[in-house]
Amino acid sequence: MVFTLLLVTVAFLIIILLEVPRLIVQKKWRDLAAFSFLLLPAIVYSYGITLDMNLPNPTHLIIKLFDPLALRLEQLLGTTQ
Amino acid sequence: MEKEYISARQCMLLLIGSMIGISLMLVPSLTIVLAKQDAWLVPWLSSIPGLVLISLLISLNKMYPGQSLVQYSNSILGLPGYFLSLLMLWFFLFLGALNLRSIVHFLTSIILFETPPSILYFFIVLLCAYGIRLGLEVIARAFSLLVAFTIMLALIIQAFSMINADFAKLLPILSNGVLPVIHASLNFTSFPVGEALVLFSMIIYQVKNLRGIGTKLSSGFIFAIFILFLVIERAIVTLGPERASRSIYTIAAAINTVSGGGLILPFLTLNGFVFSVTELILCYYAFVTGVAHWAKLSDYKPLILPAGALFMVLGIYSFSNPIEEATFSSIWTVFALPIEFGIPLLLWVAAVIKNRLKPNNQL
Repeated sequence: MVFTLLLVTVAFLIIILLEVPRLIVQKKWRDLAAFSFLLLPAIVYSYGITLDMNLPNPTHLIIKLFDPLALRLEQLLGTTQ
Repeated sequence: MEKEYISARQCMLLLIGSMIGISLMLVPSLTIVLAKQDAWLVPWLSSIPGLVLISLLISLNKMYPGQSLVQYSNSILGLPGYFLSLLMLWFFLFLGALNLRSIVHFLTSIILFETPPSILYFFIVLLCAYGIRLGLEVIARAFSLLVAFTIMLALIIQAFSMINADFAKLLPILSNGVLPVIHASLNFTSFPVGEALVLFSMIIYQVKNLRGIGTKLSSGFIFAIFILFLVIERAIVTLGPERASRSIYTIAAAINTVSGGGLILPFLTLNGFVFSVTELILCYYAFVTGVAHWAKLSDYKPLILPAGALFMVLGIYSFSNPIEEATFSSIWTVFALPIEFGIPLLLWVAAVIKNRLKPNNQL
């Protein structure tokens, strides 16, 4: 677990070091905002998966929302298994 | 953002590659479990909505030349268009993550049994990130070589695994009625057809010479449908509908029935890997350029690495167990069909109305 945490941290540090200094020098604040907006959930979920935390799962939301509709379609077409 | 151009032929080959994609492995059992021995009808039925979607995308591209779906949805609908394209971006992200997950699942269950999945996730994403950093032109050139080569391999595999074919297994035709076939076609329309085609809303605007793009894309699409038809039909005639519907990777099971089939297995994995990576790389590209267009950035390149991390994390985290993954295929249809077909259709209708209302319409 400690080793995985270390690897994850190193990986994200490499990503940040590769992109952020260049963006700051070129004063591309918009790009930097988009970059952080994408990186932040990735960081949160990486540590969440490593530490076995219970984070909200988008797939579960989709299943919850669309399961009744899928069942209805199966009943309509008579292919309920 | 600097302009990159690909030719219509390269676009066609990318379409073939991403249409076949991971569905080469997954589609036979998914269709056969519903439609039994009539599953070979399914790709042909689904080709009709596919052709409609291609014509919608090309017509939108003619109305708004040089713009991607994310850009023209904004110029057609204004503020609601922003939210629509956000939904589309989420779809690209989710689709890419699911694709990545399926590729890794395939690799770990067919050849690399003892490799930790996270290593595979990491290296596949790294490969795609490198490709995208080099740009669409490089991707298109590389994959037009690879896809042409692997299609030949696919046909060789087809010829080899038909040794035990028993065409009587295709009978009786439509014994369970039409409804199961229609259900399977709906699934097929959402899983390989719609998701592969909707990616091209982010690619078509970069095709250099648009003359004849419609015929080229449609013929590529029909060719991909034909390959998927061959795969499904092969699973039925070699394994029979009952056995084919029970195995996950029907195509590998069909090869294992032939003596010496183990020799073809590496080719098969190469085949599956090239096709599925085509689709993954296009998802990745569509997502990254889409975010850049959405936020009006000057370049998409800074977004590549964080997007890769996001794909990897979502791929690992999306399902907690294989049962969930297996039942998700029926939900995917109702979730994906409105996005894949609804959004382009809505945009097209709105664009046509908008052009009619303008006093000097130049459509």
